[in-house]
Amino acid sequence: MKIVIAGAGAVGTHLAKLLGQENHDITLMDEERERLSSITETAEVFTVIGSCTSPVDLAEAGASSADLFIGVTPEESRNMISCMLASSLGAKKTLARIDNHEYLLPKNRTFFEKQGIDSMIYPELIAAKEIAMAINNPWTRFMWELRGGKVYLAGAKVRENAPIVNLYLKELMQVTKQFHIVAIKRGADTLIPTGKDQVLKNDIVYFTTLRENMGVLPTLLGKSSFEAKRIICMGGSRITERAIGELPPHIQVKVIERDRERAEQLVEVLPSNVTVFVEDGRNTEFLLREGITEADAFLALTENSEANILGCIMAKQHGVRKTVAEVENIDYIAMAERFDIGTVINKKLIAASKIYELLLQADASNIKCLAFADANVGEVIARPNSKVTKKLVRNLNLPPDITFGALIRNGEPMLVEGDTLIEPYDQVVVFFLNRALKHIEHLFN
Amino acid sequence: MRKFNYRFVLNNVGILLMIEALFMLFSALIGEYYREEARQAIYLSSGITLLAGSMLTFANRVLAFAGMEQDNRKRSITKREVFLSVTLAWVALALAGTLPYLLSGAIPSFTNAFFESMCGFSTTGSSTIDNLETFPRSLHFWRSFSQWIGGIGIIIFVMSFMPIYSGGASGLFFDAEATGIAMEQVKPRVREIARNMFLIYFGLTLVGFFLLWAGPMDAFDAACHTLSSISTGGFSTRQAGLAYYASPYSEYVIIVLMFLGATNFMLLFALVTRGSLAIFKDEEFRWYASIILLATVGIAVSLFVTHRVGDAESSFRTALFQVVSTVSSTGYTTVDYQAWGPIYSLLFLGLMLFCGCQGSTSGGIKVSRLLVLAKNTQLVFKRQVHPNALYRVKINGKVIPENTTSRVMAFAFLYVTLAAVSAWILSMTGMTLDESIGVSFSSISSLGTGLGSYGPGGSYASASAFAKYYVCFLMLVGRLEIFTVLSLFVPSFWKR
Repeated sequence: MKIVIAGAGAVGTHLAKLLGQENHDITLMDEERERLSSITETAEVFTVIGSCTSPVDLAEAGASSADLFIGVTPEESRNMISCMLASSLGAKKTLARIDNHEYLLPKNRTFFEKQGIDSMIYPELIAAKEIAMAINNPWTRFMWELRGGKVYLAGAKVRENAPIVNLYLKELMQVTKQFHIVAIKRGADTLIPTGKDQVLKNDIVYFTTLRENMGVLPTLLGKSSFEAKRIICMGGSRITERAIGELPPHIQVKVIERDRERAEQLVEVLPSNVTVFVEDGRNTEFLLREGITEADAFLALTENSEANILGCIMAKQHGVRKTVAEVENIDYIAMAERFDIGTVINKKLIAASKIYELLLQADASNIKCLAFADANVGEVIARPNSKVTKKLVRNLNLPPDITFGALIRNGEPMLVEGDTLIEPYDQVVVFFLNRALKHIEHLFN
Repeated sequence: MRKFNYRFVLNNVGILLMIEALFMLFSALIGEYYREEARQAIYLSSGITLLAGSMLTFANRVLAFAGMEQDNRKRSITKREVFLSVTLAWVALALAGTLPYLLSGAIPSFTNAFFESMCGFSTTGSSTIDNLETFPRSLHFWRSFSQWIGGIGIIIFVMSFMPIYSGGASGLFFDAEATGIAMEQVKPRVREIARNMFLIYFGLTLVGFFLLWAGPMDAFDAACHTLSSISTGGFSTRQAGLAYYASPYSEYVIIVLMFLGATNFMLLFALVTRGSLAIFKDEEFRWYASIILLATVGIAVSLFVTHRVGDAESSFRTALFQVVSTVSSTGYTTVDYQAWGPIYSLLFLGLMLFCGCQGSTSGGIKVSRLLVLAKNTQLVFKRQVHPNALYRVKINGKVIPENTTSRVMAFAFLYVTLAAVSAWILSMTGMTLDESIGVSFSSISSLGTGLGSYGPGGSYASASAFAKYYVCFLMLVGRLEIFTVLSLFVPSFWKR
């Protein structure tokens, strides 16, 4: 597949690396030579220096024969114009990164398609949804709804006091069948566990579960669930604005914004459950006066990653149970996780994985992927007479980097166990490390 | 430095007088129909008014021709010219309005005629007449018609038909005459808004007329009462007022008309033409309706329990009628609530302070201003606890600019101060304590029904000449929402 990416910022670069691993033909274009030079050293990507709004430069980058054109410069209007141009040059599909949620409304969709912009992605909105999910389920690190909320994929850190700590997965299967551990992140490594693997303290376990089992999970992980009623939010960015829109309206939110003009704008748009303060979010005296000790959650969403990490650490010290930090500097993410910050939000990674997902949809295969941690989640439909339908799961001899999390049979979700037999047309939620894609094709087709 | 544009003012007053002359002919038509002698006087009044108007506009041309004043350029028009034009136009309107009463001899005294005329145009509805049953019908119509013109405002009326005011000036004119705070933010589309408001006004008047006609009233009484209730004016053609008809049906129709007259016409327009339900989500309308509901239920229950006016239906109807009449600043009465005791009188005094919604024909401080004042006060308390918080008054989810809030506070301050000082001044003319307070509050809010002998069923016939002129001043100030008139008395308004 031939893909042209316009804009070698954090999103574009990350995406180019991600796609480069899969033998796609990637062209990355940007006006600045320096931004392109770092990527050519690390990945096999073809680079073009040029403006993404110039038809000549676009043609040179190969937009006319591209299967997919992606506009991810920092500027919305440039992205949209470059998509229109690429589309008129002959690009089959286009995707633009935008800054305005109105464009995503269904009534505007056909208009943009007519203009040659097939899909749009608004990273701030996706980030806001993740934050809301994290606040509503404060015991998790992150949480995704699959199949429209029938199956949940969640990741959480295992506490020392958790009943499941030190158990082998095969023992765990005998204790409870309410969830299925599909991946474990231990330090810097991610593994797809088998029955012989053990759950250790401080592991981040990723598991699938059904909606009705959500209630019992916090205890198994050594945590208690609580409803966040008071939230303090440092920084009044667009993510803040969107995240508040995604949260239930009865939550009391205090937004701390340093810039008075921005604060005035926020007062204008935010609902009545939100109070806006003009102050530096790092002013401890002020935070104590405004009741940080009684807050249930602390969101650090300023543009300064360091300040966000420090803010969350301070909030933890004052007893705030759930912290969320926006960390735009990718190198800091591992560090932030080590400091026990509940949820780390990175707009660029979110955007890149969302684009990756759209991209795989555009591919002819019936696999839909979400990239999380370092593993992938895919939904695969089992074809009749495919290998996977012939034997019980335990007898399939799955390769070590693949596991089945759950399946949907006739619209009913169920978790997959060793003695499950997959039937034709089951939609199976598969977890796999990179490079295992071929095995999946082999099993299901 | 720019000189004051007298010519502009002369021209405007002249044009409005000529239009008034046209309105007078409607009354003359009624006189023709009933073959009344008064019609001659009305023709004469119309002629005099037309002459006066054309002389003023002619003077404008002469001054221009003689080059005594600078060129009448449109952009040299400021708030000064506009506020003076509007105030003078209203005074001239009321002055010319006295002619039919004076020339026909129906009201021989100039003081009483001017008072009657101002009560009409300001939609206050007080009166000095005590022989309404024998009053000529054409003049009855003129009284009600003057309220109808004053209700929406003659300038808005004219603006919706004729492009006499150019872009910028029409916004200033609209501000000077329209009611409420949001009106200050609609400048670019004033002509369209003026037209929409007038269409709603006209539509409601037509519907109201047919509904009233369907009841016990004859066509003439129905027309007069419709004109006086939709404009929240409150003139009646009967000495006994609405009690004369003793018809619950007519009372309910008038309740609806008064209620609608005091709602925001722009929201009504959106509801009628586009089916927009915005009016039911509008905070001001909700408060307005809630105030009416609360006061009605409270009064109805207490009336029913104490058996003051009979059965449950009539308790409810009496309470609803009095509350809507007061809150809409109409001033119709079906009973003398003073006889119920001071607790009711004081309640009505409170209700007349705030009255209806912005963009309506009602008087008073307006519910939207009450909302701003209440919310702002609440924020003062909140700020004490959270000094760093950025609190702003929001109405319908929109931030009210600080500037507007401070204007509203100044408005309320002036309003209450003026009402209090006026009560004190009126007390010097021989009114009792409750009379002076009642007259002052009810005049400034253009309600017209005060307390004591000026209360329900009362008449201003016994008031002194000074009191009458002073009340005329109060009514004008109240109708034009304080700033338009009072600005003219502030030296800094004139300083260059």
